[in-house]
Amino acid sequence: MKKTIIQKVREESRQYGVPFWQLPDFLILMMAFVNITGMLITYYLALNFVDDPRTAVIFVAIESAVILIIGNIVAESSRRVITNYKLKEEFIDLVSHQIRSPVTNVKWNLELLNQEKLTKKQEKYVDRLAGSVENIVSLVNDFVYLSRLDQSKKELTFQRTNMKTLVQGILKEMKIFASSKEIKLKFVNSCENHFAKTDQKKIKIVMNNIIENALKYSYENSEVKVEIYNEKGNLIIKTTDYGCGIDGASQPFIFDKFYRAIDAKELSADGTGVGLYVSKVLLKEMSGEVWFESEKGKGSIFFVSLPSC
Amino acid sequence: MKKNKILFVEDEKVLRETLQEALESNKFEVETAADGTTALEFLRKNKYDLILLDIILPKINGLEILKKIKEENKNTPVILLTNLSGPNNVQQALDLGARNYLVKSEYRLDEIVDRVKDVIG
Repeated sequence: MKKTIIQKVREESRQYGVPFWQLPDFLILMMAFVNITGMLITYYLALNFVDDPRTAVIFVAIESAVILIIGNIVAESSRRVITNYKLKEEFIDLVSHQIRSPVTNVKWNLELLNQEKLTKKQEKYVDRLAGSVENIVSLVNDFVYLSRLDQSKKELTFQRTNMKTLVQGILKEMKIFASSKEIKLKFVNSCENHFAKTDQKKIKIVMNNIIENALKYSYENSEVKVEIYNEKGNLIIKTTDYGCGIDGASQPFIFDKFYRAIDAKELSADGTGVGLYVSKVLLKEMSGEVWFESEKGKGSIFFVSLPSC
Repeated sequence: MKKNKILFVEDEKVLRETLQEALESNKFEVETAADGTTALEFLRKNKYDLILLDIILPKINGLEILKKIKEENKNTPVILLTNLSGPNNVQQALDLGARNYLVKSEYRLDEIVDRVKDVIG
């Protein structure tokens, strides 16, 4: 649905933390309005008070003064917008850093613990903990990426990316999480050309989200299959799970920010409804697409498409 | 055979000890510093094959240290190892000559050891 100008202004006002009349866009519009009105009035005055040109001159002087004042407010509010943005960036950096540090501690020490001689039961507990730690890492990452989405387009670095290697790497990283739910991870390569033109870091975020969701919403003792193939000049990554699926009523909204389907909440309490939204925005910026097929109680198939190269 | 010597600058005690242990068990010699001033002092006295550097540090931050290292010890490779992931920090670190920039929470210990081996294997 397209947003009205009023909705956009409200949103920007909230986002930048300044009142709507201090938004640079609004003030520039006001300047244009004052300018045009001033010109029309000057024209009218010049026509009607031609005997006394001083009136027109005074009016032009007043108009210039108004434009100068508005210009000053534009400069000041732009400064405030930039300051607010910098503060927001610093705040996000600091908060994410403070959460990530203890998480790193747990993650690294679990890894060391896993190298010791453990009983089957102990191994299972360590795997469970490691899975939860990875969840926290990806939750923090989701929020960091979400907060930076509006500037992510400026940060894209397109590279020729071997998607086979990238997907296999993610599957390797997810092995512990998969085994904690006794899910088999399967990779099928039906590709002749594994390369896509994409931003490596961003596509890794996307594929991490998609594959992690497949695992999160799969039933225990099931399978998650990731297949890559070429179709009409694109590289498709198809992720299939046999989990709770998405009910029909939730399907139109699953790419919305903070939306979580009813079954998703029941099966996994720790999601945020951010991952798919971030994935869709990132893919759009990389000329890619994401779509899905799903049946409640049977599972879901997510397709990611990227331009081959 | 002479071991490669690493200076690991990290203010968090547990992280410092954990990675030190992992690196030492991979046959690296590791010295650690918990703040910027100590790190610079070590750097003045000793020679290292690699420096692993956090950014948020007491007294002098990691990026300042990196600047000084590059001014004085141009050839010593530096890997930034931090939990800050802001693009400005990454760019600044790479512009200052860091060999790599790793966000700690994203990597397992063995992956970090691999990255170290990539540089001074």
